[in-house]
Amino acid sequence: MLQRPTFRSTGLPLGLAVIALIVLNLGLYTRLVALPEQVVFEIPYFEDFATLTTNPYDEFGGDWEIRDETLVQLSTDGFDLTTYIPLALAPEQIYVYETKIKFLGGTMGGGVLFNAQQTTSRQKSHMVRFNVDQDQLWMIYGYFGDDSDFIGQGSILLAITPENVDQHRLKVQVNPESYNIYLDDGLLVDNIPLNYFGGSVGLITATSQVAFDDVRIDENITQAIPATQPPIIMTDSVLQPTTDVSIILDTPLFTDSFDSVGGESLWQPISGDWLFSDGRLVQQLTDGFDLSNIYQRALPYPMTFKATFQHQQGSGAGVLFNLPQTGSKNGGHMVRYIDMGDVIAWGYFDESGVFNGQGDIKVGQPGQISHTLAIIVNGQTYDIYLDDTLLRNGIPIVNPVSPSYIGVTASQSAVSFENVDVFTGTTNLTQPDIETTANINIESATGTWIIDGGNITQTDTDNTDYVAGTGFAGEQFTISVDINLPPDVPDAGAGLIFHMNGRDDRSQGYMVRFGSGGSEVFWGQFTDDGTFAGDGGVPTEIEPQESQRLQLIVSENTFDIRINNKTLVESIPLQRTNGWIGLVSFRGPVQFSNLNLQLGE
Amino acid sequence: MQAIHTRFSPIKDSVQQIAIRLNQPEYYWLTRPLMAFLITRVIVFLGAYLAEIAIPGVVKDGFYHVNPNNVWLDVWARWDSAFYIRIVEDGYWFTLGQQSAVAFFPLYPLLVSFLAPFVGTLAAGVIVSNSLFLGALIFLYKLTELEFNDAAVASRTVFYIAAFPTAFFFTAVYTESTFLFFTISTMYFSRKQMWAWAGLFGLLCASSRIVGIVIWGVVGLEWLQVHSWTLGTIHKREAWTNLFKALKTDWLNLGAICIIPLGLITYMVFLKVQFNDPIAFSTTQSAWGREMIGPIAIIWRDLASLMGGDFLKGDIWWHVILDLSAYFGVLLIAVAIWRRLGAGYALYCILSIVIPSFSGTGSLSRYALVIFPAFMMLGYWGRWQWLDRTVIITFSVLLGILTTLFVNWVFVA
Repeated sequence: MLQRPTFRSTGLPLGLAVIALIVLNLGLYTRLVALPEQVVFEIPYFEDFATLTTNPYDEFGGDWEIRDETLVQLSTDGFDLTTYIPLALAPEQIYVYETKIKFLGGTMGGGVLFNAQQTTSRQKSHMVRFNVDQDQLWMIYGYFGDDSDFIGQGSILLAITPENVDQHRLKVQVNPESYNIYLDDGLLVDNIPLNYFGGSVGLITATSQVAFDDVRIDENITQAIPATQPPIIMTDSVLQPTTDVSIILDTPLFTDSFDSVGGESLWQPISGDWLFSDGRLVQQLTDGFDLSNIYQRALPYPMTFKATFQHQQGSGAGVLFNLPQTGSKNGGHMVRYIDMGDVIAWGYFDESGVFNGQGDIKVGQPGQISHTLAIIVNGQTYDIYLDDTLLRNGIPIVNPVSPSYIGVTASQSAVSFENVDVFTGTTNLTQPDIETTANINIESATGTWIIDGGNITQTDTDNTDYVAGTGFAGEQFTISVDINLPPDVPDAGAGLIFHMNGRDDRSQGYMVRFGSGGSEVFWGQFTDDGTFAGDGGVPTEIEPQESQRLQLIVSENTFDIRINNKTLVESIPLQRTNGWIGLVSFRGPVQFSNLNLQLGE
Repeated sequence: MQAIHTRFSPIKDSVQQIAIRLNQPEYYWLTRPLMAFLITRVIVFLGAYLAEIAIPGVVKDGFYHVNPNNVWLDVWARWDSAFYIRIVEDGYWFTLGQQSAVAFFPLYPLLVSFLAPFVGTLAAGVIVSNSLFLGALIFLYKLTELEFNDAAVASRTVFYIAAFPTAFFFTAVYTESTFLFFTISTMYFSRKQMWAWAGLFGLLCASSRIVGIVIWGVVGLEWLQVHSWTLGTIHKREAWTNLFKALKTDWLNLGAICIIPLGLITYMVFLKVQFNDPIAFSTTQSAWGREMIGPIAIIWRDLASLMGGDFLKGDIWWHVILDLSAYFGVLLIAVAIWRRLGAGYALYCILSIVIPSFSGTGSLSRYALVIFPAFMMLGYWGRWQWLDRTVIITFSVLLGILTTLFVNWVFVA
């Protein structure tokens, strides 16, 4: 039965529909239309906030106000409270961006954003800021990726307390392909790869009240040359190549030993039967090809990707990289054992998922022992290493994608993956070739260790052996270091320690060090409970107050001690054949320099 | 004392009279939804507040606080809320390959933008969400009563949906309540054969979410059914004769229904003009890691990952359990809905849950929240007391847990 159209049943709603459409359109084109990028500043730019009463920048969270001629972010609750300085820097623009930062309260600190690709979110921008971790103040640096997650490129522990309220000058020098960080005019880190180019810059705070002042953006980068050394204690990831200590700029992007399992894992299988078991990621099916598990965060080039695995049944383990997406291996590259076992093949999947081989090489049967497959991706090419042996280098990447995804894979085999490490940069994995360069990562176990330029100084003065790990473990290696003992502490000593139980655990480690102000060298081993038991010692005939070079040549079952390039003792027997390597200081202050480590025979 | 009593008794009396009057069955359409709204919102607001202040705040890059100085409000801006707030404050943006605002339809942010200048964006978002949620509950009550002719069924239905485990989204700065309001109102007017009103509300529904366009088909099917053309009589000549006759006699109402897609078209034209991509809302989905690989492959993948997990160790993706429960729950109930309420409701349920599942099961428990016919059916079944109690207890407990998780930056849906 039809009702007759009336004004109330038909005319009114249709009229309202017309009004609704008009309002919808007007709203879209006036209220919700994208605001034009208002570029109101140009470089060179300087602002000291002396004459302003309100924040002149675009706010993205937080409570920004002008207080006492500084720009202050007041909220201590928010994490990424940002204000963007409306600039549009060209991608090729080289510039220096600096500001004075004063911590006023809270739990973290402030910093800067730069090369931000948009001012409406953190997506695709670089960040450098103060950060507090384990009651220590760090400078962290990295970038917010496509999904706004922060991907760290490194961090540096600072010799400043988290509660410090002094004003510090934070400066970023943006080069064509990299950037450098300076604190109080001292270089903290340089040559950090850029992921994003050009765009805007901003100020950022994390759960802290922070005052910013004297914001300067300038294309004159010569002003950024460091004048003094910054207050660094040590780094968690890199020591910078300043003067003496030789370093490779490799920063771990992430390392996963599969200890944390559960719903938060970033490893997502796309095929196969995967589970976390006893700190391993295990693929159990033995009757499928290219059964893969992909890490859900994109990683930039250049990078070094290492996966350690063990075949449990059959053979066919390997790795995937250059994956354009997380849900499929299509478009990605693969390197793996083939199911015959003694051959490693490599190639890429095309867009439809068909594998195209690029080559193979005969290797030994993998057996059921651990192997490490490493891929060094330079950008346009990649190199393959198996157990630190170069298999092939300079293989072209078909359609390189950076950042892109990585994965682990298994075919016709049950495989357990023990850990995966990814570094920025391209470490040379053939370690014996490293003559004077060591990727050293000093970490204090006891005492206070300060990195100042190329020098490492232990400053605590108690009558005990202070230890710092180098971050390296080894079986056979040569290590040398120049040592300056304090002239006014007659019983001071310093030396080296190796074959330690842990990176920061000296138990079972062998110690060789100067004693009694340098008048003797003695050696011995720490017991399980950390007590030192001496094995021998000899007097030295060296002049005090001068730098002494201590060198240890550690072989499979013995080691030699050399002082100032002369052999002091040879073939001291070893009961323990491997472990972690570190520096040791008895009282202080003791200065170490020219630290060199060569792994391998 | 006597004087005071005399002075206040008229007020007391009138309040009592209003209370008595409101408790009459003719006002149930207002009092029952209002009660469901007030009870659940008090619980949700208090729960969220307690969850935020009692549990140590998770501090991590990306976990923003829009108004850290007002916990009552701040807790309602989590995850996607930032997109709506940014749309209101800075307008739409679209960057290829990045999660962009164009994925979010304009009606809700537009309504918020009208109120924001007076109370602030966050407060405006919360007010709009809650107001439209109350409106949706009223329409749901009336629709359910229309279908079942039973006030008890309608009362249970509104309470079930208000206490559903993910019902905190109705209070958050999300589009759920807006979409629910315009969907139910469209359905209500179409069932009342007030086609032009259905067209008006359907138009707004289609501009609030992509699946809003589904309501066009549902209303169209209802119009056909009124004119004796149903999916069951499609093979009969008489059905087609009736249809042609209806086209001649009822073209105005049919035309009124056909304005529904204008809500979507308006947004697509805007996207074309602004970003040269009329389907930018779909294009940007890949930035969320969504791929169109079909519901079967998606469900199979999720089931496989679920079965591969270790339930005892907790090595499972708990979202998958929620989302798959919602998925299969809606599909199962859709069968009963087809038989009890007709094809229109059932198709709406199926399409509303299946369309999102083409690109993933993530957030299906939130999408299920607005599939109101399922709650109508639950309300009908709730006449069995054991089921009623089970539903209320289960929903309420899960609502508390999920609200706590959401407030503390655990992704729920």
